[in-house]
Amino acid sequence: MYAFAIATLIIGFIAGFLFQRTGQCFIGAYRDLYLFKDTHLLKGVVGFFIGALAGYITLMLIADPFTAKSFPWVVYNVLTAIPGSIVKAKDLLSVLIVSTIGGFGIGFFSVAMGGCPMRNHVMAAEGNLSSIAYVTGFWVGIPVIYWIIWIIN
Amino acid sequence: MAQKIRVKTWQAGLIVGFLAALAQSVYNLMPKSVEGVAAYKLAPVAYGFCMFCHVRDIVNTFMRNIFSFMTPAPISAIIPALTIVGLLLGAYISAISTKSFSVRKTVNPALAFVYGLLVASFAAILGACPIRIVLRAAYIDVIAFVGIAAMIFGAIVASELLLKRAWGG
Repeated sequence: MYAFAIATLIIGFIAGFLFQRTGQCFIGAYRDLYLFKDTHLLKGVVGFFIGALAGYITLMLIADPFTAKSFPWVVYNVLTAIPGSIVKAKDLLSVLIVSTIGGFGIGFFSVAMGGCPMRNHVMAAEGNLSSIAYVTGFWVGIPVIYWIIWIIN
Repeated sequence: MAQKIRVKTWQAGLIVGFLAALAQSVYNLMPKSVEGVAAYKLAPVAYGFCMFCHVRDIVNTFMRNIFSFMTPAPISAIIPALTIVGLLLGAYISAISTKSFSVRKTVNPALAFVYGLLVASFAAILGACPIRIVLRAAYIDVIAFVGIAAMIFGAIVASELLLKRAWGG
């Protein structure tokens, strides 16, 4: 059972170590592409996508077909989203609307802040006081939004 | 020694992406059934690395008596996902070893706190952070590509409105 905690700790450590070195940001990639035509960070996002794809294919074909039994998702679940959203959208249109609103908000406010949540956690570890304030807001915000949704329901 | 490690962005992305995908398999190292729930149902798919979900799971693990209204991945009731702790540790050690640790300020902290609240809320609506949406896309979830497109659109609008007028930072 502890394998889960230890494995996630190690993956987080490797990610923090490598992404601190490269200054990786998953929103800054799109921002830099648009503003400066700079693909430096975008290569990291594309690399992440290809690595994850390779990982899932490895699971499906070799390592652990049971875990990857719903991969590729679109084949088994067609146009439904992978669960995780706080809004329980039923039909395709509402899923699309929810995804668009959520994605737009994340993109907008991450650019305003100057980085995605991961980048801000890394910068908080580098001693950036603004990012520490951001991380505090992020951690406080999660119970708050759940509480608001719970009140509405 | 540590200063000599040079990684390119695509290499770092490739390594972390691959590990994040394989992390899905770790769930099955657990007993097949925990508290009457089959192990594979305890965590959603494409769940190897997520800033939003894993923070929520840590909060749930340690404070689920207070925040009983949260609906995290069921796995966090048993054991926390410590990705974020590892991320902070790794980034801190890397910053120390490259001597890039410095106390500074970029955005007004009060404003940054509000941005944190807002990004957390929108991440809850999307059900993914900018990293997990890429993981979901790699799991070939078509809706995730819509989410990425919306994210890019939001980034473009904010670049136009905020950065070109040098406001917001």
